[in-house]
Amino acid sequence: MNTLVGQIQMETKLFLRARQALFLTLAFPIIMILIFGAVFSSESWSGVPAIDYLLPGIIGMAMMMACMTNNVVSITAERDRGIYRRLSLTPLKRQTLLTGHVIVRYLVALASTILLILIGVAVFKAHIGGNYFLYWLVLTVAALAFVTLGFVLTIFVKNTQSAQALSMAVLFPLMFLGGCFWPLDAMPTFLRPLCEALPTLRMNTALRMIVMQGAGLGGIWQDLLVMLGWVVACSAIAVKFFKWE
Amino acid sequence: MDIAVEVKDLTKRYGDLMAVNKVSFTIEEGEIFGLLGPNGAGKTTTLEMIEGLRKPDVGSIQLCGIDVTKRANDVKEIIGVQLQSTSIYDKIKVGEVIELFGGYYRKSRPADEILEEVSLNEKRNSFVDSLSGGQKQRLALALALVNEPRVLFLDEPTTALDPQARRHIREIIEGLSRKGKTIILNTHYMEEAEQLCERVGIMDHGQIIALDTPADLISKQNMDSAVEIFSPNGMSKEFFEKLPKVDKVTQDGEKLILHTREALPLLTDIVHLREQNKLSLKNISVREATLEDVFLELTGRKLRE
Repeated sequence: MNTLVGQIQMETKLFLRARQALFLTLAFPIIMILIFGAVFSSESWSGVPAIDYLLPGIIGMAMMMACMTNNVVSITAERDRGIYRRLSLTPLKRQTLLTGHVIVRYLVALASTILLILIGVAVFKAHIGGNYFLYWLVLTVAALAFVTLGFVLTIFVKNTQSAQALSMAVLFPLMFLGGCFWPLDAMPTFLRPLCEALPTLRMNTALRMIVMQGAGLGGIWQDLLVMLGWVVACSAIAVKFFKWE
Repeated sequence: MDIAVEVKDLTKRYGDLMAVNKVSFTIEEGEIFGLLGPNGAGKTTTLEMIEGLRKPDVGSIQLCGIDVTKRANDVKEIIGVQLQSTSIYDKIKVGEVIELFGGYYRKSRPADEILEEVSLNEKRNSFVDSLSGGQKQRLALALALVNEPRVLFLDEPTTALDPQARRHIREIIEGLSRKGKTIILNTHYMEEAEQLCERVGIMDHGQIIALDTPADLISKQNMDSAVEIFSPNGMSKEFFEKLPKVDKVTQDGEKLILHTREALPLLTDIVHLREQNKLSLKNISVREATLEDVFLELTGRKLRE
């Protein structure tokens, strides 16, 4: 247990000291909400203020940056440098190493979410409401889906440079097809089944339902199920093919 | 003397390649043991099996009385491994990484004490990526010392360092040896092995082809002295092999190395031959035979190739 706490403290320090990662994961989503919020401040989409629609989308983007992009990049870099090989020569268990790593990405994602909500509400008068527990549950399942997807991506990455490129190549379709910035109705019909299978769309839909319609578990269980499906599938692939060296 | 490492019939195969082929040796507690060999000789695989990272296909390994193949986790508590210096996080401070590693072990030493030992106390609050090559290597060594290990594995501890930094690390290693640590050293520098190691095992093609003290390795190969000759217009190896006082000739590019136990008489002979036959020979020099000569003789390769 002490080892895990030590691992979490160290990973947090490493995260806070990596300026580029810090900018991408924390500052970039804030810049996005400031720009989008300002541009669309007077508009309303699907009958709700645009900011209410955009806030979950930008939270989704921030989640992916913290849990997926940052995960892929940091794991690849540590693997490349032989840090995992060095650690395998100590009694540190790999479960502890991974648990610490994942917890830190999750905490960063939560911190990022809270910041975005605060800015959304304070600056752009975004509405927040509905069942807070469900809101957190959706975020957590989504974070798990993105973290496990990140582990899957590390399998295909050869070095640190390609880690950034590949995770971006996955992040953009997930963001644009996943309804982060515009409603599903805006997508061509033939793409919609694909969009509906994406964890981003499911997360965005569920968050919007909770806030805008006060949906309960009954209204979002399908979205949770699809995201859990991603978690299970990605975990299975990662467990089988993840490379430590 | 207690036995620190006992390896018997160690064998590891990767597909068709016998990476390690029936290797057996014993290392006594407190000894500095060098494992040398060309790249791909099987050194790394052998060391990784002793460290418990890889399981042998066949064979047994005892480390301080622990069966490594069955209790790899207990072994990790009592060994320290120094890898190449890059295998440490960048944006972490020297003191922090020592304490982090200390937390991995059931027993660990205070960070100050370890930093003192490798002369890094002044760098305690510096980030790893601001250290020089020699400092990073000393940090890598410090990380191998956090758990007060009984057996220390050093993987090319001085590679890519300037002479001064190299000497510094050697002094630290000698200090650790005086404290009774068993040290297994893998190095590319022959003179380092000769200077530090009590015994040296030379590996090639997955096997230990020679194992002895550096002095005995040299004398067993009839390699007391070496006369080096540059022979640019192709004086053949065979020509010199026929000379009575020459025990053996090895070739290293344009350089021929004549091994002999009668260096001065041989030199006189060569000077006569040169005048009689109008040979063009350049840069004749005489030196004592070194482990490098033994290595070249046994493996046909230079260590750094």
